[in-house]
Amino acid sequence: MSKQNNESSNEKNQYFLFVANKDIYAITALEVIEIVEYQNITKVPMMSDFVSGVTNIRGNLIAVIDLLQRFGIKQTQIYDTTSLVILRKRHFNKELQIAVIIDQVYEVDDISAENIESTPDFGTRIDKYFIKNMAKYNDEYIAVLDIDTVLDIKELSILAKEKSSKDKG
Amino acid sequence: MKILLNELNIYEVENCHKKILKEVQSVKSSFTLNFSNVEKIDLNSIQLILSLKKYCDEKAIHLKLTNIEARQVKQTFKMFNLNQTLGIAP
Amino acid sequence: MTEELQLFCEDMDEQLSIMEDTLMDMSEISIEAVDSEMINKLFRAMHTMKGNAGMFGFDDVVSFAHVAENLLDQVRNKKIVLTQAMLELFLLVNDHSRTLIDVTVQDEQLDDDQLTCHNDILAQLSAFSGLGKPDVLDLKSDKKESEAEEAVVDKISSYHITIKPKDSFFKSDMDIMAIIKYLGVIGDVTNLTIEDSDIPDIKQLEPLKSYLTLSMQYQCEEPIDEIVAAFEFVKDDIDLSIININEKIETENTESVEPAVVEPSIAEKAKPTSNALAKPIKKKETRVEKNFSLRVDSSKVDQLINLISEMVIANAKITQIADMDDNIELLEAADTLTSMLEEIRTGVMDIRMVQVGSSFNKLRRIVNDTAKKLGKQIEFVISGEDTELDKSVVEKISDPLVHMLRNSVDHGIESMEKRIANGKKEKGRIDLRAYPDAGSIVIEVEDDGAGIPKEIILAQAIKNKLVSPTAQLTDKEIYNLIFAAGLSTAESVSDVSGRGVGMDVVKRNIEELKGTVDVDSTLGQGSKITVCLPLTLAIIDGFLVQSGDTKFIIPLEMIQECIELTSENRSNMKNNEFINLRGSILPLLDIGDYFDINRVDYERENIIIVNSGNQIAGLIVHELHGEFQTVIKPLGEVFEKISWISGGTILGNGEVALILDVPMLLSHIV
Repeated sequence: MSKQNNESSNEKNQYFLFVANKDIYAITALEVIEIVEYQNITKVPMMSDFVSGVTNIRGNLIAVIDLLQRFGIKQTQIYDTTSLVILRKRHFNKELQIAVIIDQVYEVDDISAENIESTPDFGTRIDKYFIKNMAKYNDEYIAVLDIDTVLDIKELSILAKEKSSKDKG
Repeated sequence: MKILLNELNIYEVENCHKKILKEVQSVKSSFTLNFSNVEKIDLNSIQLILSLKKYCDEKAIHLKLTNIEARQVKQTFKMFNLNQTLGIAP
Repeated sequence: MTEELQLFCEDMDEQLSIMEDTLMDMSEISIEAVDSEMINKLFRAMHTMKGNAGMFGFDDVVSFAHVAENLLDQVRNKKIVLTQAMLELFLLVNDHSRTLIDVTVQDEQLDDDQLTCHNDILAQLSAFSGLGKPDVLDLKSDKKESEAEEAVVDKISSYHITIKPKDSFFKSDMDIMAIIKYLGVIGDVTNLTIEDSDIPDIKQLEPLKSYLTLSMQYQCEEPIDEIVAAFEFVKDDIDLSIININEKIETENTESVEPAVVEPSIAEKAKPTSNALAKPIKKKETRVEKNFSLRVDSSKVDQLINLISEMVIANAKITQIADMDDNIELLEAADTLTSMLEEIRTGVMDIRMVQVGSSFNKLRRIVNDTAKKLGKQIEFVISGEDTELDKSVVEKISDPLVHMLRNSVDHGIESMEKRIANGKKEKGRIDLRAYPDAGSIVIEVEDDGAGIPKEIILAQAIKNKLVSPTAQLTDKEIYNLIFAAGLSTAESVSDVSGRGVGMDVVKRNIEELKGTVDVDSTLGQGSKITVCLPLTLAIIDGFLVQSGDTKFIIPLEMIQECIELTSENRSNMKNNEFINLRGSILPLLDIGDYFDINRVDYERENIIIVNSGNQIAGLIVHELHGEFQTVIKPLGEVFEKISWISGGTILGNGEVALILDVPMLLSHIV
């Protein structure tokens, strides 16, 4: 019993760290399904800028989100190290898979609970809305992303603009 | 030996087999199965009892089934015409 | 729920449907016209239900069914004359049986109301069959006197039955004792013995393995098939032999006796025990062929279809590579594979195909009940029951059809007085038809009622702000307003429909199935709703096009033709977005512009002329890549708001192309 507890708490303490626009961000490792090399993405018209499109992961179509655009920073540039991180996201009672674009994988490491602190009210580079809490890692504070808000389906699915008015003139 | 189970069925038969086997090997002249708790019995368990009967016959142990009270159990033994074979009073 | 119980439920459902259908048939004709075949059908269904329930030891169901069966038997043997009241009662029996089975399967008890209903029905049944005091629930008596009476001696056959459970029988968790008990209900079991010679002593015993053989003498008036059927649920777990020892007293020991040994295909060679052999009777072995059908979990078929879809994609990739390398041999091999895959696909799809008939028949009850409630008389005519459709589509189409039919009964068909006043037949008529048409299945609901009052619909729609008061709508557009949410035209809100919900749900359900729905009407003469459904949901024949850097699939069946958009056309357009196509106006939509796709300069542009319903439009794209077997994959929740893209598909090179939903796209731009 106690052993099991330890194991699961270990897993809970594990974080996936990555680089985007020279900053390091963290996601709890439990939310990560897999990491694949950047690959062709098909743009889906009329979606918001931060929805890059869909890609084919082993025969399934998966939505790809541009994190930097989602944070309102800029469009992510594609480098050799650019990767797609497939995340699991609960949506009602279904588990969805959604990919985000990152510049580079940084590390997968344990961060103990005492190094997790709540988010300050201001001063973070990205909106506090997207941050679950702050983790102290190698004397640096990094933002642990709140996947539920970053990948909020309601916000992701909003169409960029209703276009049907334009073509009658 | 008193059977503590309410139902002698496929889910209990392995356990029951073990218990009976243990007990029956330590007796010499007679072995009693007390059915007072048993309310239901299935074909699988009947097979177990018939198997026990075989063993007892070989070793000349007198097998007695007692306190068969539940309707289903009585009917089942009757249905398969086992009352005589197993020495159950009608 | 165990697999067996699942099967049981499905079987019961089937029997109940048969009963219901038959009862509906009967109620549509005059009571005198009911023929013995119908009664027999009812009787068989009831009888099968009783038998199935017996196998599972559901005593309450058995005893209930038994009483109903008794009455049916008396009617069948013309001892009692069928009356209208009896028919009504049997409908109640049908409904209550469903309740009773549900409750029993859930291992629950009837609640007080249900119990009252139960005993009430039993009382009525018994009253009809002249039994007097009914056996109310709680009874456990297995045999009724009447049955003993009916057991006319000269109909009885005797059998010797040997049951050898397979080694693993006990693990199947099937209760053979219940089957024997059931046999005891429909006949007489004697000399039931357990052959124990194979049972080892308790030291060697493997408690879960079966060593037994059961044998018995059996007498009943049922045909041998009935006895075999009793073992239906365990037939894979036992070896069974049933030997008919014909003991008809007057024919015993005569040459003409031809008893049969029935061996279900699973049985070993019959091994008659000494009991049977002792009878000096000639035996002849025959085999009874049973129609063999398979019930498979539909997810298994889906999995197969998915796999085949993946293979189609992989094969497309091979074709592409072979094409690039100009490898003729590989191309030919891939070609062969393509046609074989196509065959496999059709074959597997075929497994999913079911006839719409059974689901249509359920609708008769609904029309009948609704009509009765509204005091209308309606002739309901079904045709094309044998039309095949994907099972999942059939399941999902049932609700919309219920809505549509209720609407026809309620709003379509006029009251009897009105019909007479208008010089129509007092009995209204509703037709439900299904037929295949060019790669899709068409389902029509047509009534000869009042038709749709255009003005009222339009006024209502304007009042509810669904259309602007100045809009110029064609008749067809007005009729189709009935599918708009929040439009109710029934002058009085009835119990049946007309609450302003319904037809919009119908439309939505049908669109979810990638189908279309259309309505047409003539005032005073009736209306017709036409539903067009795709044969299958998983794979379509598509046409791959490209606009800018994005690839799209257009369903091939939507495409009328492809023409080149010449510079001549361009200049003739003069900023209009249409061209003159052989004398008529063809409105154009530039996919690239519309979707804001990065423009790439192309030497030529093409127009794909698509045809959806009555709309024709030209879609401007840049490149045409040709036909493509398209496996439709959902884009997922993130893209759920984009209605004009119905999904995505994976191309041979792993890229994703988007599938255009042409009807939605056209409805958006018009």
